[in-house]
Amino acid sequence: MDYKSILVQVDQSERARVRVDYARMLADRFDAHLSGIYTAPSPGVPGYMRSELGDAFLAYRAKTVQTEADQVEALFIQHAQGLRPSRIEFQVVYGDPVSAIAPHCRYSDLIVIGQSESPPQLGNSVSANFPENLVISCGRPVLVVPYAGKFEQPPSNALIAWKNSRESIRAVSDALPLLQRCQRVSLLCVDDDREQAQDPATDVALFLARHGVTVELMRDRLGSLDVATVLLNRAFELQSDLLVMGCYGHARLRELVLGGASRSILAMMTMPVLMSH
Amino acid sequence: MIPKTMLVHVDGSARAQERIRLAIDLATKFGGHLIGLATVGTLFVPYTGGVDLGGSYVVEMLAEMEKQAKRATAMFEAQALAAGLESIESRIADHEAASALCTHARYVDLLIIGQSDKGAAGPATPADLPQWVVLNAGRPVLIVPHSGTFTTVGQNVLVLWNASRESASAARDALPFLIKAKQVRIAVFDARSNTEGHGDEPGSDVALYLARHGVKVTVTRESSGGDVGSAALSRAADLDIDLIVMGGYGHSRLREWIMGGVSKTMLEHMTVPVLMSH
Repeated sequence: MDYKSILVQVDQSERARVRVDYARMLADRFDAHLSGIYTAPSPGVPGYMRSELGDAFLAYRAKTVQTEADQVEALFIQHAQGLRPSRIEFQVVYGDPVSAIAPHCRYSDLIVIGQSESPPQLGNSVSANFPENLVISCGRPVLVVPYAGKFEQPPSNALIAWKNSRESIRAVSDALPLLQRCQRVSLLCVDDDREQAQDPATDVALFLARHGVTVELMRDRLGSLDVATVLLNRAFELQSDLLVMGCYGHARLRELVLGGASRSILAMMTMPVLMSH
Repeated sequence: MIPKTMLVHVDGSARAQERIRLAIDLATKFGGHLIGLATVGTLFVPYTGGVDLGGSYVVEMLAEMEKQAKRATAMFEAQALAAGLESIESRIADHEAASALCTHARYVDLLIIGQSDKGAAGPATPADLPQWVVLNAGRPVLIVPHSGTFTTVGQNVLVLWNASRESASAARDALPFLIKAKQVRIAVFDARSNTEGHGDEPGSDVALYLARHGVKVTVTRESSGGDVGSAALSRAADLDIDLIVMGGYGHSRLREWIMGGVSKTMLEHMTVPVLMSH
């Protein structure tokens, strides 16, 4: 099933333009509906503060929030151009980005967001750990676009980071529409020296072949490096323009326990990464 | 994605035949490859009450368990041959059913397993097998009831919608079925607007999502009277539904265990095949 609804997270940052362009390109490719979503600060203030702040300030604040939302909408509309107007939608949600955006992800096939920058750039409305929190909690594949670099073509040379796990097959399955349109797909198993992998990934290669995706199987040894470095080295060597991987982690109460490789990739990635949990 | 690789659990039980028949139908319908998985359960040795088991006993027992698994796959192959399905393979896993199914789920689009039959549950197929598989396989699971025959599956579908992440996964995973269905109904029970992930009109967001995939649906909002599982099952019976699609175990297992829950009710009392995603 192709992607028919794509959701892109928009804000006032420079990178939002690149992100919307990328999402628009995918929407074009899949003939999908493109929805922009912006999380604005909640305009409301607690009742006890209202009299202290005064009506004039509250009106000013509400107006500022509205102006910012209008600016973001204009940015989205400008960059989503080329799609039929009936295919574009923009919505503003308020409050904490993860809990505000996650419910909307349920009505989308693919979510496009930006990699976190450190230090955060002006106009970037989300916190540093927004990507991982969204991946873990939204239940949909999330395509993270790096904070640097241009991505003007849809992916054509994908690398799958394979591990024999629930998250990996979920990611591969979620990425199928993209993989089916790639010229080249490589599947990499990273051997941990401690446990020799029994599964040579031939089963998943067959799984992909039945969906019309031919993969090249590759193995790398971990050696003294960590998984993320091995993956990124290989992606660089292959000049991959898409990395597909499972995201490992648990949301425990308000704290997120994220797998080491997932966290490192989100910090160091230089190409779009599709993650599923 | 259209399921191109499917896996059916073959356990040699009386019900396996109906399950295999249904799996063959689906593989034919979607043009997919079908794997029959039998499990030996070697890692499980029943407790015998302190009797010292001789080496020969263990060897004989293992041989018998293996023989049963081979019988099960032979039955699968015979049925596929009779139905003219060519793209099949049998696999025998040494582990017990739950972990074998979850491991082998990692290269399939859809798992087909049986509902637990309290009367027939044994060490090889524990009573909580469906629950375990739904929670741990990470793939959509089609559960076939332990009684009844199901000549059509997925012509008249009921989607249980509660706006949770799990029900969204189920709606997405069920797309190949929904696209081919004659009629798709979305039932939203006890929903209040703008709460728990619902929008202004509960069910309309997912209807739009499905419509963009070319699925026409009708949405009904109703009150369950407190027991969503039973209400859904009686709706399914009234409407002649032949497939229920739902998210499984959206609430914590602890809460399901204490309070009961829709997933639990379904797994115990289902009368039509249920497609569950977690």
